[in-house]
Amino acid sequence: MYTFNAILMNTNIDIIQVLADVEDCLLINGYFDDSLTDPIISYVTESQIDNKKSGRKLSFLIVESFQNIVRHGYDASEANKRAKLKEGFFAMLKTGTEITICTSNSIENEKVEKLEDEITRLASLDKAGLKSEFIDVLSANKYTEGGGAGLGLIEIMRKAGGQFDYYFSKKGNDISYVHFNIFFNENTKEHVKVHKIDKVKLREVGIDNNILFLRKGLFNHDTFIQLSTVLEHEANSHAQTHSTSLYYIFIELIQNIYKHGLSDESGDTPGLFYIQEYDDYFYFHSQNLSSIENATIVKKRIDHLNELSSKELLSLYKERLTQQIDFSKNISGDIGLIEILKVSQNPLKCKISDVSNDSCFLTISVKLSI
Amino acid sequence: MEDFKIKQTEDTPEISFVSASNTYLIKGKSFPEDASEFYYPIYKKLEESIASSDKIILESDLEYINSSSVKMIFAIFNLLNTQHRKNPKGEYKIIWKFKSNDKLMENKGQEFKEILELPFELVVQV
Repeated sequence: MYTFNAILMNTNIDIIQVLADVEDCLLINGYFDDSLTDPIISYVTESQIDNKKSGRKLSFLIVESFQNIVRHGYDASEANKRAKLKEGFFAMLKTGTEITICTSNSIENEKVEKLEDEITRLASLDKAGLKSEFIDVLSANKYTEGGGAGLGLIEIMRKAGGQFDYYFSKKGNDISYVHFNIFFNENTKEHVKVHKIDKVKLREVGIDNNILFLRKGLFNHDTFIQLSTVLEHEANSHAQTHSTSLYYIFIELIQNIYKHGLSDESGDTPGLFYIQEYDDYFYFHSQNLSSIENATIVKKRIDHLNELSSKELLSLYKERLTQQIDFSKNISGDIGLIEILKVSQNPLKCKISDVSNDSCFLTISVKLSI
Repeated sequence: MEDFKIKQTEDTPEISFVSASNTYLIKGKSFPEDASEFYYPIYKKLEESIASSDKIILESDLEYINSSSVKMIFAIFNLLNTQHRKNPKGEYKIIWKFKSNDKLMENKGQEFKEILELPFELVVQV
C-alpha cells in the first residue's frame, strides 16, 4: 500500500494518516438526494466488488443507508427542502474484501433519546427477533417519519448481521448527528469489525473540515467515469454557480492522476484526490506516484505558467492550440494545466515529496473562489 | 458522403453528419480515455467532405470538454479554417452553442472564434 501524505487546510490533520489502513476510500460530505444512489451503486458494484451476490447485498446496504439520510435526516434549510436535499455524510472504506460503510445525518435533539432507545432495542434482537419486528412493523404499518427507527434500519440490521455500530454527537443546541458504521466482508457471511480506522476522526476530517469529496485508491478511466457522475451530482448540489468550474478542474486533475501517474502491476494508478471547502474557496488536491523526471518537468511547467499574466497565458493557450497536431499521440501538452489556471484564476501549487531512487509523490493543488 | 451517427457514451459526445445540409454535429460531454483515437476518424471524414463539397457546417453543442478533446476539436475546426483560406468562395461555418449560464463554454467559443478566420457563430441557449 502506498503511503500518501496530505495536510488539510485549516488543520494539522493528515487525512492519509487517518486512512492509513484503508486501500480504497470514497467520501462524500454534502447534500444527498435519491439521484445520488445510482451513481454510487454503479461505482461500488463495478469497481469495488467482484462477487455479484455480495455486490447485491452491499448495494442494498448502501441504498438503505442513503435512504436513512434522505428520508430521516433533518435539514432546516428552506432551499434544501425545496430541492429535496438533505445534508449528510457518506464514506466507504475498503481493504481487501473488508468494507466499512459510514453514514451520518442530522436529527433534532428532541428525537435523539427516542431513536437511541429504539436502535438499542433493535440491536439487542437476534435474527428471528429482527424478522419478527420487520413483519410487525410492516403489518402494523408503523412506518415512522423523521427520526424514528423504520423499516430501513431494521433491514440494515438484518442484512448486516448485527455487524454495525452507532453513536450520536451534538451539532448545536437543536441538532445532533446520528452516525452509523456498517461492516461487510465480500467473501464471508460473518462480517467482522475490521478497519482499525478511527471513524470518529474520519468524520472530524470529513464534516468539521468540510471535505466535500475524497477518493483514495486506484485510478483508471472506468473509475473516473463512475466518480465523475457522483461528482457532477455533488457539484450541482453544492455549488450551482460554480458547478461547471468545479467539475472541470475535477476532470483535469483526476485524468492527470491516471494518465501521468506511475501505475501498479495491474495498470491502475494509485492516487489521492479531494475537494475541501474553506474560507470562501474550494481547494482541490491531487496526488500520485510519479517518476522523478516527470515530476520535475511538471513542476518546472507549473512554475513557469504561474509567472504568466492572464494575457500571456491566453496567448500561450492559443499558440498551443494552433500547433500541428499528432493524432498518433494522446497528449495535450500543457493545455490541461493552462485550462486549470484559466478556470480557477489562481496559481497552481506543485510539490514533489518523498523522493526515493526512482519515484516520488507529485502533488498538484489549486483553489477556486466560491 | 453518407449520413452517419455515432451515439453518445458516458465519456464521448454524439457525432453525426447530415449530408443534405453538409452539417456535422458534436453534442454532449467529451472526456475520452484517448481523445486522438476518438476524434481522428472524424478528422478524416471531414477531409473527405472538404474534398467533395464547398459548403460545410460544423455545429458544436458541448456540455463538458477535457483538455485533450479541446486540442482535437480545435484541430477539426482548424481543418475547415484552412479550407476556408484556400477557398474563400466556399461556404464554411462553425456554430458554437452554449448554455446561458455556462461561462466556460462561452469563453472557449470566444477564444476559438478569435483564432479562426472562418464565420464563427456563438449561439446562446436559454
